[in-house]
Amino acid sequence: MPLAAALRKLEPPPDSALVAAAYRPLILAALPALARGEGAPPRSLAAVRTALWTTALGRVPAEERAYADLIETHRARLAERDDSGRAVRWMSLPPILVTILMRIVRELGPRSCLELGTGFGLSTAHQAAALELNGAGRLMSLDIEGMVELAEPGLDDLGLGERVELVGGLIEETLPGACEDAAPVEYVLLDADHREESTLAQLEVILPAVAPGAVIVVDDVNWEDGQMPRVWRAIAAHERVAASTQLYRLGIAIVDEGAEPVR
Amino acid sequence: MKRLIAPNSGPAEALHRAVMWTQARRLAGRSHPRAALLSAALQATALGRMTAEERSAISRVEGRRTEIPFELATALGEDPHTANDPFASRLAHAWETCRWVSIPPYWGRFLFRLVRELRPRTSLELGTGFGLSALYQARALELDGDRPLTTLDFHYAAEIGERGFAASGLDERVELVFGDIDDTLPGVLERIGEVDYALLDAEHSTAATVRHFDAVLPSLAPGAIAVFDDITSTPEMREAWRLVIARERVTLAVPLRRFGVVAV
Repeated sequence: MPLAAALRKLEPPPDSALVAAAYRPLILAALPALARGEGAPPRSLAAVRTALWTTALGRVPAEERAYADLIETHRARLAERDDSGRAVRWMSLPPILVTILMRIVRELGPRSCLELGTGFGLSTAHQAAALELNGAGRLMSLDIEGMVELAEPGLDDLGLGERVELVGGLIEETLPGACEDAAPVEYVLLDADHREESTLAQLEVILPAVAPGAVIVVDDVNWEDGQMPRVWRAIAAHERVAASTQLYRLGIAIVDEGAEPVR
Repeated sequence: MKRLIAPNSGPAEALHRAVMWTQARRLAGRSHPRAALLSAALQATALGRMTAEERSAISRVEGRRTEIPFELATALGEDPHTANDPFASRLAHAWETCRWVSIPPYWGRFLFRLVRELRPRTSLELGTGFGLSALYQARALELDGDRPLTTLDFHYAAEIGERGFAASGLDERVELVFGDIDDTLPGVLERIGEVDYALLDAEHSTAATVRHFDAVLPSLAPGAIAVFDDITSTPEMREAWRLVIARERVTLAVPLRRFGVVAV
Protein backbone atom coordinates (compact mmCIF):
# COMPACT_ATOMS: atom_id res chain seq x y z
CA MET A 1 0.00 0.00 0.00
CA PRO A 2 1.92 3.12 -1.22
CA LEU A 3 0.10 5.51 1.15
CA ALA A 4 1.03 3.39 4.16
CA ALA A 5 4.61 3.14 2.96
CA ALA A 6 4.84 6.90 2.50
CA LEU A 7 3.37 7.42 5.96
CA ARG A 8 5.98 5.14 7.51
CA LYS A 9 8.83 6.96 5.79
CA LEU A 10 7.53 10.35 6.90
CA GLU A 11 6.85 9.28 10.49
CA PRO A 12 4.60 12.14 11.59
CA PRO A 13 3.45 11.82 15.22
CA PRO A 14 0.47 9.44 15.33
CA ASP A 15 -1.78 12.10 16.87
CA SER A 16 -1.20 14.64 14.07
CA ALA A 17 -3.88 15.81 11.64
CA LEU A 18 -1.81 14.41 8.76
CA VAL A 19 -2.12 10.90 10.14
CA ALA A 20 -5.87 11.31 10.63
CA ALA A 21 -6.25 12.47 7.01
CA ALA A 22 -4.12 9.61 5.72
CA TYR A 23 -6.14 7.06 7.69
CA ARG A 24 -9.50 7.93 6.13
CA PRO A 25 -8.86 6.26 2.75
CA LEU A 26 -7.16 3.34 4.54
CA ILE A 27 -10.30 2.83 6.63
CA LEU A 28 -12.51 2.82 3.54
CA ALA A 29 -10.09 0.41 1.84
CA ALA A 30 -10.58 -2.00 4.75
CA LEU A 31 -14.34 -2.24 4.09
CA PRO A 32 -14.54 -4.65 1.11
CA ALA A 33 -12.92 -7.46 3.13
CA LEU A 34 -15.96 -7.33 5.42
CA ALA A 35 -18.53 -7.36 2.60
CA ARG A 36 -19.18 -11.05 3.13
CA GLY A 37 -18.03 -13.26 5.93
CA GLU A 38 -18.95 -16.91 5.73
CA GLY A 39 -20.21 -17.92 9.13
CA ALA A 40 -19.79 -14.47 10.67
CA PRO A 41 -22.97 -13.17 12.28
CA PRO A 42 -24.41 -10.43 10.02
CA ARG A 43 -25.02 -8.25 13.09
CA SER A 44 -21.33 -8.11 14.00
CA LEU A 45 -20.27 -7.60 10.38
CA ALA A 46 -22.72 -4.73 10.00
CA ALA A 47 -21.61 -3.14 13.29
CA VAL A 48 -17.94 -3.10 12.25
CA ARG A 49 -18.74 -1.92 8.73
CA THR A 50 -20.88 0.95 10.04
CA ALA A 51 -18.21 1.87 12.58
CA LEU A 52 -15.58 2.05 9.84
CA TRP A 53 -17.43 4.08 7.24
CA THR A 54 -18.90 6.55 9.73
CA THR A 55 -15.40 7.20 11.10
CA ALA A 56 -13.84 7.53 7.64
CA LEU A 57 -16.49 9.99 6.46
CA GLY A 58 -16.62 11.96 9.72
CA ARG A 59 -20.20 10.91 10.50
CA VAL A 60 -19.58 10.34 14.20
CA PRO A 61 -22.67 11.04 16.37
CA ALA A 62 -22.61 14.22 18.47
CA GLU A 63 -22.70 12.42 21.84
CA GLU A 64 -19.58 10.45 20.90
CA ARG A 65 -17.86 13.65 19.79
CA ALA A 66 -18.62 15.14 23.18
CA TYR A 67 -16.81 12.25 24.88
CA ALA A 68 -14.00 12.25 22.32
CA ASP A 69 -13.41 15.98 22.98
CA LEU A 70 -13.34 15.37 26.72
CA ILE A 71 -10.92 12.45 26.43
CA GLU A 72 -8.71 14.37 23.99
CA THR A 73 -8.42 17.11 26.63
CA HIS A 74 -7.24 14.40 28.99
CA ARG A 75 -4.74 13.22 26.35
CA ALA A 76 -3.44 16.79 25.98
CA ARG A 77 -2.95 17.06 29.75
CA LEU A 78 -1.04 13.78 29.83
CA ALA A 79 1.07 14.93 26.88
CA GLU A 80 2.03 18.10 28.79
CA ARG A 81 3.44 16.08 31.66
CA ASP A 82 7.19 15.55 31.69
CA ASP A 83 6.98 11.91 32.75
CA SER A 84 4.47 10.72 30.18
CA GLY A 85 4.38 13.34 27.40
CA ARG A 86 6.47 11.68 24.71
CA ALA A 87 5.16 8.23 25.47
CA VAL A 88 1.55 9.39 25.20
CA ARG A 89 2.15 10.91 21.79
CA TRP A 90 3.95 7.93 20.31
CA MET A 91 2.57 4.90 22.17
CA SER A 92 -1.12 5.63 22.57
CA LEU A 93 -3.57 4.94 19.80
CA PRO A 94 -4.11 8.10 17.70
CA PRO A 95 -7.46 9.94 17.90
CA ILE A 96 -8.88 8.53 14.67
CA LEU A 97 -8.18 4.93 15.71
CA VAL A 98 -9.71 5.31 19.16
CA THR A 99 -12.71 6.80 17.36
CA ILE A 100 -12.99 3.52 15.43
CA LEU A 101 -12.86 1.57 18.71
CA MET A 102 -15.53 3.79 20.25
CA ARG A 103 -17.71 3.45 17.16
CA ILE A 104 -17.36 -0.36 17.11
CA VAL A 105 -18.35 -0.64 20.79
CA ARG A 106 -21.22 1.77 20.18
CA GLU A 107 -22.53 -0.17 17.16
CA LEU A 108 -21.92 -3.63 18.60
CA GLY A 109 -23.37 -2.95 22.06
CA PRO A 110 -21.30 -5.59 23.90
CA ARG A 111 -22.19 -6.49 27.50
CA SER A 112 -18.70 -7.65 28.33
CA CYS A 113 -15.43 -6.31 26.93
CA LEU A 114 -11.84 -7.27 27.51
CA GLU A 115 -8.73 -5.16 26.90
CA LEU A 116 -5.16 -6.41 27.17
CA GLY A 117 -2.85 -3.43 27.60
CA THR A 118 -4.41 -0.50 29.43
CA GLY A 119 -1.46 1.83 28.78
CA PHE A 120 -2.37 5.40 29.66
CA GLY A 121 -6.04 4.44 29.54
CA LEU A 122 -6.98 6.46 26.45
CA SER A 123 -8.37 3.57 24.40
CA THR A 124 -9.87 2.26 27.66
CA ALA A 125 -11.63 5.59 28.13
CA HIS A 126 -13.04 5.67 24.59
CA GLN A 127 -14.40 2.14 24.87
CA ALA A 128 -15.80 2.81 28.35
CA ALA A 129 -17.43 6.02 27.08
CA ALA A 130 -19.14 4.01 24.33
CA LEU A 131 -20.46 1.59 26.98
CA GLU A 132 -21.64 4.54 29.07
CA LEU A 133 -23.53 5.93 26.06
CA ASN A 134 -24.96 2.47 25.36
CA GLY A 135 -26.16 2.49 28.96
CA ALA A 136 -24.89 -1.05 29.52
CA GLY A 137 -21.74 -3.15 29.51
CA ARG A 138 -18.48 -3.50 31.39
CA LEU A 139 -14.88 -3.41 30.32
CA MET A 140 -12.14 -5.37 31.98
CA SER A 141 -8.71 -3.97 31.27
CA LEU A 142 -5.44 -5.75 32.06
CA ASP A 143 -1.94 -4.36 32.37
CA ILE A 144 1.02 -4.39 34.72
CA GLU A 145 0.45 -2.89 38.17
CA GLY A 146 2.23 0.42 37.50
CA MET A 147 0.39 1.15 34.27
CA VAL A 148 -3.00 0.42 35.80
CA GLU A 149 -2.26 2.76 38.70
CA LEU A 150 -1.33 5.49 36.23
CA ALA A 151 -4.52 5.10 34.19
CA GLU A 152 -6.98 4.79 37.07
CA PRO A 153 -7.23 8.45 38.23
CA GLY A 154 -7.78 9.59 34.64
CA LEU A 155 -10.69 7.20 34.14
CA ASP A 156 -12.22 8.35 37.42
CA ASP A 157 -11.84 12.04 36.40
CA LEU A 158 -13.64 11.27 33.15
CA GLY A 159 -16.51 9.73 35.13
CA LEU A 160 -15.90 6.31 33.57
CA GLY A 161 -14.47 4.49 36.58
CA GLU A 162 -17.71 2.56 37.10
CA ARG A 163 -17.63 1.00 33.63
CA VAL A 164 -14.06 -0.27 33.88
CA GLU A 165 -12.49 -2.92 36.03
CA LEU A 166 -8.73 -2.52 35.99
CA VAL A 167 -6.72 -5.65 36.72
CA GLY A 168 -3.07 -5.07 37.56
CA GLY A 169 -0.39 -7.77 37.25
CA LEU A 170 1.38 -9.93 34.71
CA ILE A 171 -1.15 -10.73 32.01
CA GLU A 172 -0.16 -14.44 31.87
CA GLU A 173 -1.22 -14.65 35.49
CA THR A 174 -4.31 -12.42 35.48
CA LEU A 175 -5.80 -13.40 32.10
CA PRO A 176 -7.33 -16.81 32.95
CA GLY A 177 -9.19 -15.36 35.95
CA ALA A 178 -10.27 -12.29 33.98
CA CYS A 179 -11.65 -14.45 31.15
CA GLU A 180 -13.57 -16.49 33.68
CA ASP A 181 -15.10 -13.33 35.16
CA ALA A 182 -15.80 -11.64 31.83
CA ALA A 183 -17.16 -14.61 29.82
CA PRO A 184 -18.94 -14.49 27.44
CA VAL A 185 -16.75 -11.70 26.04
CA GLU A 186 -18.20 -9.89 23.04
CA TYR A 187 -15.39 -7.45 22.32
CA VAL A 188 -11.62 -7.78 22.75
CA LEU A 189 -8.74 -5.35 22.21
CA LEU A 190 -5.32 -7.04 22.06
CA ASP A 191 -2.67 -4.42 22.71
CA ALA A 192 -0.32 -5.96 25.27
CA ASP A 193 3.31 -6.99 24.85
CA HIS A 194 3.53 -7.39 21.03
CA ARG A 195 5.49 -10.66 21.08
CA GLU A 196 4.42 -13.55 18.89
CA GLU A 197 4.52 -16.32 21.42
CA SER A 198 2.74 -14.51 24.24
CA THR A 199 0.13 -12.84 22.04
CA LEU A 200 -0.90 -16.16 20.48
CA ALA A 201 -0.93 -17.75 23.93
CA GLN A 202 -3.24 -14.96 25.14
CA LEU A 203 -5.52 -15.56 22.16
CA GLU A 204 -5.82 -19.26 23.02
CA VAL A 205 -6.90 -18.34 26.56
CA ILE A 206 -9.39 -15.74 25.33
CA LEU A 207 -11.03 -17.65 22.46
CA PRO A 208 -12.87 -20.25 24.61
CA ALA A 209 -14.40 -17.36 26.59
CA VAL A 210 -15.66 -15.28 23.66
CA ALA A 211 -19.26 -15.13 22.55
CA PRO A 212 -20.30 -16.04 18.98
CA GLY A 213 -19.81 -13.03 16.72
CA ALA A 214 -17.36 -11.34 19.07
CA VAL A 215 -15.10 -8.67 17.61
CA ILE A 216 -11.35 -8.95 18.26
CA VAL A 217 -9.25 -5.88 17.53
CA VAL A 218 -5.45 -6.18 17.43
CA ASP A 219 -3.18 -3.14 17.54
CA ASP A 220 0.23 -2.75 15.84
CA VAL A 221 -0.22 -5.67 13.46
CA ASN A 222 2.27 -3.99 11.11
CA TRP A 223 5.18 -3.83 13.57
CA GLU A 224 8.31 -4.15 11.52
CA ASP A 225 10.12 -6.85 13.50
CA GLY A 226 7.86 -9.40 11.82
CA GLN A 227 6.36 -10.87 15.00
CA MET A 228 3.09 -8.95 14.96
CA PRO A 229 2.42 -9.44 11.21
CA ARG A 230 2.84 -13.20 11.82
CA VAL A 231 0.48 -12.97 14.79
CA TRP A 232 -2.09 -11.19 12.68
CA ARG A 233 -1.83 -13.74 9.84
CA ALA A 234 -2.35 -16.50 12.39
CA ILE A 235 -5.40 -14.78 13.84
CA ALA A 236 -6.93 -14.03 10.43
CA ALA A 237 -6.42 -17.68 9.43
CA HIS A 238 -7.71 -19.07 12.75
CA GLU A 239 -10.55 -21.55 12.35
CA ARG A 240 -12.82 -19.58 14.65
CA VAL A 241 -12.28 -16.28 12.81
CA ALA A 242 -14.96 -15.91 10.14
CA ALA A 243 -14.05 -12.47 8.79
CA SER A 244 -11.14 -10.12 9.17
CA THR A 245 -9.73 -6.91 7.79
CA GLN A 246 -6.61 -4.84 8.33
CA LEU A 247 -6.25 -1.10 8.22
CA TYR A 248 -2.57 -0.20 8.46
CA ARG A 249 -1.74 -0.90 12.12
CA LEU A 250 -5.15 -2.17 13.27
CA GLY A 251 -6.44 -5.67 12.65
CA ILE A 252 -10.13 -6.43 13.14
CA ALA A 253 -11.38 -10.01 13.33
CA ILE A 254 -14.91 -11.33 13.79
CA VAL A 255 -15.39 -14.68 15.53
CA ASP A 256 -17.77 -17.21 13.93
CA GLU A 257 -21.17 -18.26 15.25
CA GLY A 258 -19.42 -21.50 16.24
CA ALA A 259 -19.83 -23.48 19.38
CA GLU A 260 -21.10 -21.77 22.51
CA PRO A 261 -18.32 -20.78 24.89
CA VAL A 262 -17.53 -23.25 27.61
CA ARG A 263 -19.03 -20.98 30.27
CA MET B 1 -23.01 22.38 4.60
CA LYS B 2 -24.19 22.91 8.14
CA ARG B 3 -20.86 21.57 9.38
CA LEU B 4 -18.87 23.86 7.11
CA ILE B 5 -20.59 27.01 8.32
CA ALA B 6 -20.73 26.07 12.02
CA PRO B 7 -18.88 28.81 13.95
CA ASN B 8 -16.22 26.38 15.18
CA SER B 9 -15.49 24.90 11.74
CA GLY B 10 -12.27 25.38 9.79
CA PRO B 11 -13.80 27.48 6.98
CA ALA B 12 -15.49 29.84 9.47
CA GLU B 13 -12.20 30.26 11.33
CA ALA B 14 -10.25 30.93 8.10
CA LEU B 15 -12.80 33.54 7.01
CA HIS B 16 -12.78 35.38 10.32
CA ARG B 17 -9.01 35.32 10.65
CA ALA B 18 -8.82 36.87 7.18
CA VAL B 19 -11.27 39.57 8.33
CA MET B 20 -9.11 40.18 11.43
CA TRP B 21 -6.01 40.50 9.26
CA THR B 22 -7.67 42.95 6.84
CA GLN B 23 -8.95 45.16 9.65
CA ALA B 24 -5.57 45.05 11.39
CA ARG B 25 -3.94 46.41 8.23
CA ARG B 26 -6.60 49.08 7.88
CA LEU B 27 -6.26 50.15 11.54
CA ALA B 28 -2.48 50.39 11.27
CA GLY B 29 -2.90 53.58 9.24
CA ARG B 30 -5.37 55.23 11.63
CA SER B 31 -4.31 57.93 14.08
CA HIS B 32 -6.88 57.06 16.78
CA PRO B 33 -5.13 56.49 20.16
CA ARG B 34 -6.52 52.94 20.37
CA ALA B 35 -5.94 52.00 16.71
CA ALA B 36 -2.42 50.64 17.22
CA LEU B 37 -3.44 48.47 20.17
CA LEU B 38 -6.45 47.01 18.35
CA SER B 39 -4.42 46.45 15.22
CA ALA B 40 -1.78 44.55 17.20
CA ALA B 41 -4.42 42.36 18.90
CA LEU B 42 -6.13 41.57 15.59
CA GLN B 43 -2.90 40.82 13.79
CA ALA B 44 -1.57 38.52 16.52
CA THR B 45 -4.87 36.59 16.56
CA ALA B 46 -5.06 36.38 12.77
CA LEU B 47 -1.53 34.97 12.60
CA GLY B 48 -1.92 32.77 15.68
CA ARG B 49 1.03 34.33 17.51
CA MET B 50 1.22 33.29 21.15
CA THR B 51 3.84 32.75 23.82
CA ALA B 52 4.16 29.38 25.54
CA GLU B 53 2.60 30.87 28.68
CA GLU B 54 -0.39 32.14 26.70
CA ARG B 55 -0.77 28.85 24.87
CA SER B 56 -0.97 27.05 28.18
CA ALA B 57 -3.59 29.51 29.51
CA ILE B 58 -5.67 29.07 26.35
CA SER B 59 -5.42 25.28 26.45
CA ARG B 60 -6.87 25.32 29.96
CA VAL B 61 -9.90 27.24 28.67
CA GLU B 62 -10.25 24.79 25.80
CA GLY B 63 -10.15 21.97 28.33
CA ARG B 64 -13.04 23.55 30.18
CA ARG B 65 -14.94 23.82 26.88
CA THR B 66 -15.05 20.04 26.57
CA GLU B 67 -16.67 19.64 30.00
CA ILE B 68 -19.60 21.98 29.35
CA PRO B 69 -21.73 19.62 27.19
CA PHE B 70 -21.68 17.09 30.05
CA GLU B 71 -22.86 19.63 32.60
CA LEU B 72 -25.53 20.85 30.20
CA ALA B 73 -26.66 17.25 29.57
CA THR B 74 -26.98 16.79 33.33
CA ALA B 75 -28.94 20.06 33.61
CA LEU B 76 -31.26 18.87 30.81
CA GLY B 77 -31.94 15.80 32.93
CA GLU B 78 -33.65 18.09 35.43
CA ASP B 79 -35.66 19.88 32.75
CA PRO B 80 -39.20 18.41 32.54
CA HIS B 81 -39.13 18.54 28.71
CA THR B 82 -36.00 16.44 28.37
CA ALA B 83 -35.82 14.53 31.66
CA ASN B 84 -37.04 11.30 30.05
CA ASP B 85 -34.56 11.34 27.16
CA PRO B 86 -31.66 8.90 27.45
CA PHE B 87 -28.33 10.41 28.50
CA ALA B 88 -26.83 9.84 25.02
CA SER B 89 -29.47 11.97 23.29
CA ARG B 90 -29.27 14.72 25.92
CA LEU B 91 -25.50 14.78 25.47
CA ALA B 92 -25.84 14.92 21.69
CA HIS B 93 -28.25 17.84 22.02
CA ALA B 94 -25.95 19.59 24.51
CA TRP B 95 -22.90 19.14 22.27
CA GLU B 96 -24.72 20.54 19.23
CA THR B 97 -26.01 23.47 21.31
CA CYS B 98 -22.54 24.34 22.60
CA ARG B 99 -21.12 24.12 19.10
CA TRP B 100 -23.46 26.86 17.95
CA VAL B 101 -23.79 29.13 20.98
CA SER B 102 -20.38 28.98 22.67
CA ILE B 103 -17.71 31.42 21.56
CA PRO B 104 -15.49 29.75 18.92
CA PRO B 105 -11.82 29.25 19.90
CA TYR B 106 -10.45 31.88 17.49
CA TRP B 107 -12.80 34.59 18.84
CA GLY B 108 -11.87 33.54 22.36
CA ARG B 109 -8.21 34.01 21.47
CA PHE B 110 -9.04 37.48 20.13
CA LEU B 111 -10.70 38.51 23.42
CA PHE B 112 -7.75 37.02 25.30
CA ARG B 113 -5.27 38.95 23.13
CA LEU B 114 -7.27 42.18 23.40
CA VAL B 115 -7.46 42.02 27.18
CA ARG B 116 -3.73 41.28 27.36
CA GLU B 117 -2.91 44.30 25.18
CA LEU B 118 -5.36 46.62 26.94
CA ARG B 119 -4.65 45.58 30.56
CA PRO B 120 -8.00 46.98 31.75
CA ARG B 121 -8.30 47.93 35.42
CA THR B 122 -12.00 47.06 35.36
CA SER B 123 -13.73 44.67 32.97
CA LEU B 124 -17.43 44.13 32.52
CA GLU B 125 -19.25 41.41 30.64
CA LEU B 126 -22.97 41.40 29.91
CA GLY B 127 -24.16 37.87 29.11
CA THR B 128 -22.16 35.13 30.84
CA GLY B 129 -23.68 32.19 29.00
CA PHE B 130 -21.65 29.07 29.79
CA GLY B 131 -18.82 31.30 30.99
CA LEU B 132 -16.30 30.51 28.25
CA SER B 133 -15.65 34.06 27.04
CA ALA B 134 -15.32 35.13 30.69
CA LEU B 135 -12.66 32.44 31.12
CA TYR B 136 -10.63 33.67 28.12
CA GLN B 137 -10.74 37.20 29.52
CA ALA B 138 -10.03 36.13 33.09
CA ARG B 139 -7.03 34.03 31.99
CA ALA B 140 -5.66 37.11 30.20
CA LEU B 141 -6.22 39.24 33.32
CA GLU B 142 -4.54 36.56 35.42
CA LEU B 143 -1.31 36.89 33.41
CA ASP B 144 -1.17 40.64 34.09
CA GLY B 145 -1.88 40.96 37.78
CA ASP B 146 -4.89 40.83 40.03
CA ARG B 147 -7.55 42.75 38.11
CA PRO B 148 -11.13 41.55 38.29
CA LEU B 149 -13.89 40.80 35.79
CA THR B 150 -17.57 41.32 36.55
CA THR B 151 -20.04 39.33 34.48
CA LEU B 152 -23.83 39.69 34.48
CA ASP B 153 -26.51 37.23 33.41
CA PHE B 154 -29.93 35.94 34.37
CA HIS B 155 -29.87 32.72 32.36
CA TYR B 156 -29.65 29.26 33.96
CA ALA B 157 -26.59 28.62 31.77
CA ALA B 158 -24.65 31.02 34.02
CA GLU B 159 -24.78 28.38 36.78
CA ILE B 160 -22.67 26.17 34.51
CA GLY B 161 -20.43 29.19 33.95
CA GLU B 162 -20.06 29.72 37.68
CA ARG B 163 -19.04 26.09 38.22
CA GLY B 164 -16.43 26.60 35.52
CA PHE B 165 -14.95 29.64 37.29
CA ALA B 166 -14.64 27.63 40.50
CA ALA B 167 -13.18 24.59 38.70
CA SER B 168 -10.65 26.84 36.96
CA GLY B 169 -9.63 28.49 40.23
CA LEU B 170 -10.86 31.85 38.92
CA ASP B 171 -13.85 32.35 41.21
CA GLU B 172 -11.97 35.06 43.13
CA ARG B 173 -11.23 36.97 39.96
CA VAL B 174 -14.57 36.61 38.19
CA GLU B 175 -17.63 37.95 39.94
CA LEU B 176 -20.94 36.67 38.57
CA VAL B 177 -23.92 38.94 39.25
CA PHE B 178 -27.02 36.83 38.72
CA GLY B 179 -30.27 38.56 37.77
CA ASP B 180 -32.01 40.68 35.14
CA ILE B 181 -29.25 42.88 33.68
CA ASP B 182 -31.50 45.97 33.61
CA ASP B 183 -31.90 45.62 37.39
CA THR B 184 -28.34 44.66 38.30
CA LEU B 185 -26.32 46.85 35.89
CA PRO B 186 -26.80 50.27 37.59
CA GLY B 187 -25.65 48.92 40.97
CA VAL B 188 -22.66 47.16 39.41
CA LEU B 189 -21.59 50.30 37.51
CA GLU B 190 -21.89 52.39 40.67
CA ARG B 191 -19.74 49.93 42.55
CA ILE B 192 -16.93 49.42 40.02
CA GLY B 193 -16.75 53.04 38.84
CA GLU B 194 -14.89 53.58 35.57
CA VAL B 195 -14.97 50.71 33.08
CA ASP B 196 -11.93 50.12 30.85
CA TYR B 197 -13.25 47.15 28.92
CA ALA B 198 -16.74 45.81 28.25
CA LEU B 199 -18.12 42.84 26.30
CA LEU B 200 -21.80 43.17 25.41
CA ASP B 201 -23.28 39.76 24.59
CA ALA B 202 -26.63 39.69 26.38
CA GLU B 203 -30.11 39.85 24.82
CA HIS B 204 -29.74 40.05 21.04
CA SER B 205 -32.38 42.72 20.32
CA THR B 206 -31.91 46.28 19.11
CA ALA B 207 -33.61 47.78 22.14
CA ALA B 208 -31.75 45.77 24.77
CA THR B 209 -28.32 46.11 23.14
CA VAL B 210 -28.62 49.89 22.75
CA ARG B 211 -30.12 50.23 26.24
CA HIS B 212 -27.24 48.28 27.79
CA PHE B 213 -24.64 50.27 25.85
CA ASP B 214 -26.23 53.59 26.79
CA ALA B 215 -26.19 52.50 30.43
CA VAL B 216 -22.51 51.54 30.29
CA LEU B 217 -21.39 54.48 28.10
CA PRO B 218 -21.19 57.19 30.82
CA SER B 219 -19.02 54.85 32.93
CA LEU B 220 -16.58 54.05 30.11
CA ALA B 221 -13.16 55.56 30.88
CA PRO B 222 -11.45 57.62 28.18
CA GLY B 223 -9.82 55.13 25.82
CA ALA B 224 -12.08 52.29 26.93
CA ILE B 225 -12.95 49.51 24.49
CA ALA B 226 -16.35 47.85 24.13
CA VAL B 227 -16.86 44.63 22.17
CA PHE B 228 -20.21 43.46 20.73
CA ASP B 229 -20.95 39.89 19.71
CA ASP B 230 -23.14 38.82 16.78
CA ILE B 231 -23.46 42.28 15.21
CA THR B 232 -24.51 40.77 11.88
CA SER B 233 -26.47 37.74 13.06
CA THR B 234 -29.94 39.34 12.69
CA PRO B 235 -31.43 42.54 11.23
CA GLU B 236 -32.10 43.64 14.82
CA MET B 237 -28.42 43.33 15.72
CA ARG B 238 -27.32 45.09 12.52
CA GLU B 239 -29.62 47.97 13.51
CA ALA B 240 -28.22 47.95 17.07
CA TRP B 241 -24.65 48.18 15.70
CA ARG B 242 -25.62 51.15 13.47
CA LEU B 243 -27.10 52.94 16.48
CA VAL B 244 -24.12 52.15 18.71
CA ILE B 245 -21.49 53.50 16.30
CA ALA B 246 -23.56 56.67 15.80
CA ARG B 247 -23.19 57.60 19.48
CA GLU B 248 -21.21 60.80 19.93
CA ARG B 249 -18.59 59.38 22.31
CA VAL B 250 -17.78 56.49 19.98
CA THR B 251 -14.70 57.61 18.04
CA LEU B 252 -13.55 54.31 16.54
CA ALA B 253 -15.71 51.46 15.23
CA VAL B 254 -14.27 48.24 13.81
CA PRO B 255 -16.75 45.69 12.42
CA LEU B 256 -15.23 42.21 12.23
CA ARG B 257 -18.14 40.41 10.55
CA ARG B 258 -19.31 38.66 13.70
CA PHE B 259 -17.79 40.82 16.44
CA GLY B 260 -17.76 44.60 16.52
CA VAL B 261 -15.28 46.67 18.51
CA VAL B 262 -15.74 50.31 19.47
CA ALA B 263 -13.43 52.67 21.34
CA VAL B 264 -14.32 55.89 23.12
